[in-house]
Amino acid sequence: MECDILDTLEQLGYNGPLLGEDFLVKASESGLSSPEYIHLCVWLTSRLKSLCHLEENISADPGDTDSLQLEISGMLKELSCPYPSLVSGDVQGRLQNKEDCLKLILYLSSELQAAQIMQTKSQQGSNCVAKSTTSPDLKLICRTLGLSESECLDTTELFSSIETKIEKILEEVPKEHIGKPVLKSSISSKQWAELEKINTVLSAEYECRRRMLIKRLDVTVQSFSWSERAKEQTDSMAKAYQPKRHSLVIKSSISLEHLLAAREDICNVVKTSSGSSREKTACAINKILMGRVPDRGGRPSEIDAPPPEMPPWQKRQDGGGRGGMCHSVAWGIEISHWSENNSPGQDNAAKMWP
Amino acid sequence: MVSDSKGIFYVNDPLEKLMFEELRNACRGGGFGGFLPAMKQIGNVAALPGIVHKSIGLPDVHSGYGFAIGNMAAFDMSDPTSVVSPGGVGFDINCGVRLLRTNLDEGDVQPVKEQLAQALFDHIPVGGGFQGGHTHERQGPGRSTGDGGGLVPEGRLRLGRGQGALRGVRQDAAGRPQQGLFEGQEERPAAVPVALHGLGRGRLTLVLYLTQLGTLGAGNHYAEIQVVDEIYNDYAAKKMGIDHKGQVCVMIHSGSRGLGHQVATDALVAMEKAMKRDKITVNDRQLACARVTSEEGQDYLKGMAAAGNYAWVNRASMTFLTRQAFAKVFTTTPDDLDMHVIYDVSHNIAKVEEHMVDGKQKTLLVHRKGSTRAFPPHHPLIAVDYQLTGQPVLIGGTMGTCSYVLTGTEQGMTETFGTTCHGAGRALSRAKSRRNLDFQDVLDRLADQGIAIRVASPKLVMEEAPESYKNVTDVVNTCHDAGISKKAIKLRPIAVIKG
Repeated sequence: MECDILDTLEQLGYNGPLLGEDFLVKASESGLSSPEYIHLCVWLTSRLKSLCHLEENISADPGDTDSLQLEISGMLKELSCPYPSLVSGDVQGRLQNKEDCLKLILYLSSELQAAQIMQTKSQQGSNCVAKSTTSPDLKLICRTLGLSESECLDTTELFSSIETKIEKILEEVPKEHIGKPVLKSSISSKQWAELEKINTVLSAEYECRRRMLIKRLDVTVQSFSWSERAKEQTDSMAKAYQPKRHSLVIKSSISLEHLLAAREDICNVVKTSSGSSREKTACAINKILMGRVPDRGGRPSEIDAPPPEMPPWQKRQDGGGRGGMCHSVAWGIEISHWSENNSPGQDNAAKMWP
Repeated sequence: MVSDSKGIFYVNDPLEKLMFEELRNACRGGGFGGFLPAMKQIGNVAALPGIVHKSIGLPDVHSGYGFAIGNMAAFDMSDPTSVVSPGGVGFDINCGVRLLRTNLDEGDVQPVKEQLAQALFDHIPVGGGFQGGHTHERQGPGRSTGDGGGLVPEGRLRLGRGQGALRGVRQDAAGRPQQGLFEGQEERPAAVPVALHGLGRGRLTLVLYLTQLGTLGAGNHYAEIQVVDEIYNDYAAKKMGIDHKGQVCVMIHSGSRGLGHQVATDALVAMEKAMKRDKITVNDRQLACARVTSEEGQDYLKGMAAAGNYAWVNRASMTFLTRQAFAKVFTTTPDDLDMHVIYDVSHNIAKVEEHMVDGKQKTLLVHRKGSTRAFPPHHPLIAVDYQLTGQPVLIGGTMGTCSYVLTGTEQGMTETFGTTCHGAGRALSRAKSRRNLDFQDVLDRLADQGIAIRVASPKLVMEEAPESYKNVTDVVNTCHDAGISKKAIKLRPIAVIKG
């Protein structure tokens, strides 16, 4: 049941703290005394309320268990909840165990899913703005801004309502919350087309680079599986790596919308040695300190000059020298090698020189 | 096989003089280390089968094994005759530079400079070979980890992939009862490589070199505390977390230690045979190579990738140790010091990349030896943070000279397949440096400049003195003026530790 709930919540776009299995189970065990659990209930019911135009509402304080029980019971009655354990018996005695609590979440989330499906279907039948390809985006905007999506507005109405809402929100946030846009000039449609072309070329380039980096990562990870000991752990390595690897996509997600959304803060050059970039390079090995090391000497005052070198080799002068003249050149070459290498035991050879 | 490719190199006047001087010396029968002069090497690379565009010498170019150090060459992957050459990557596969920033100011660090240099030297094992060049007697439980295992001083902290992996390999090895070799040896991983002989070279190599993980090495490798001396590109600097002059950074220059060398030498042996079989002729025996599609070519590319990964982990381990050293001196946590990696570049690697060749997109195998990738802004393969600035390019100077951070450009992308210089580049051979420079003079000069130094082997003092190298400012300015990368930040050293 937990897994079903988690899947459903994820599909519904919930990104609160209870998205992990452990957290969900723990919160369900605490039931109405867990603030996260209540928050999840409120999240689900508020969406249900706007989609199904419900009258009931969950708005009591998380601490006020009695009122919460009453509100939940009212809402479930309005939705005609089919689970007897959730709607029968003493109101204050409900939702006392983990199973019931999970059941409630499962019920609410599947109701919400059903309501959303119905909503989409009804919109597909109608012929207002929702028909266009931008409709998912508009819907997303409405949802983010908390505007009602169900109403079938015409384009102007919809955009003006979005604008007023945004202006209202912007008034509330701190002054420096949103910086100035980087792109200040207005751009003609011809220029937009040109930009689109540039972006396509750049995206292809980024894609190529990402492909290379991901390949490098794969190869690096693979190189750790070379040893015998690691071979036994292939499964656990894959388990740790694959989910992370899966989230790395080759395709670049940068679009012209990012250009419009870019604020001046992207122009700030982050200092290479700044604290924030150093946080990313911190690792355990850089905190290790070795024990004492012995003194290895090497001070110039402690070492003696090496013994003097042999004199450089010179070609035998014409007319000079003793016997063996006819071999002088051959000797010369060999001697020159010896003296270059400074090998011991060649002193006699050197003394032969004139 | 006739190639119509050309060799070119970028220089300014003083660097041009050095290049021709090297060529003249070589023609007179001089030269050093058994290498051809860089200019000839660039030309020989231009004649390799399958090369596209040009064989390009960067301003810091000097002769190396087969390919010059500071050479970029790209081969068409769709051409079946194209080759991959270990000489075009170098022996220290994925040798590179990593830059860490801190939120400290020069004023915070100057008073404790000596302590910091000492703490860095104590935490990061340095020196060549498997001993890590330790000058102290290792005692106690720390010994059980083997060798220069910098990650486990005194055995107090068991941490880091190297150790974990070492334990894993040890357990794996112990789990082969049929070998019957490991009884009573669980606490002596150093014995494992010996015991593992015959179990297959790959595993042996792995175990052997795990003990070097987290160690700096010797030669030109170093860890340096630097301060920002000049900011040329404010925006790029800010993106890297550098916001004012005097900010303290740490630069780590290291590679794949013995593992890269092993991969390269193994491949060279295999490729000599492959060349005979496939009838590949080259102008210099050191340019041993194999077709990219051949088994030898593929084996090398896999081995190179493994060594490359090893080098990243090695620098990452030293990053951890650097953070430890700073945290202890300033009695805080590495996190609070904001010690994050600005970037990490490789300057010895071959990579499969997409480039435009004569207006067509092609998949190329780009060999960069002693040269750094420098991709322009918006390139998909650079980090998101640097999409607008272009890839940061870290140019390590030498002991006592400045280092730079550059950024990649669109012009570099078309002209050099997104490649720029990697550092100062040697001007004198190591032996010549040892003969011509005085130990105490070099140390005195460093002291005059206020640079603290800790070094394990004294001869490095001369070999790595600024006088042994080309002028890094000349090198960087040449790249800047040529437009193949642009200057962003200049850094000045205040303390250095070396192998």
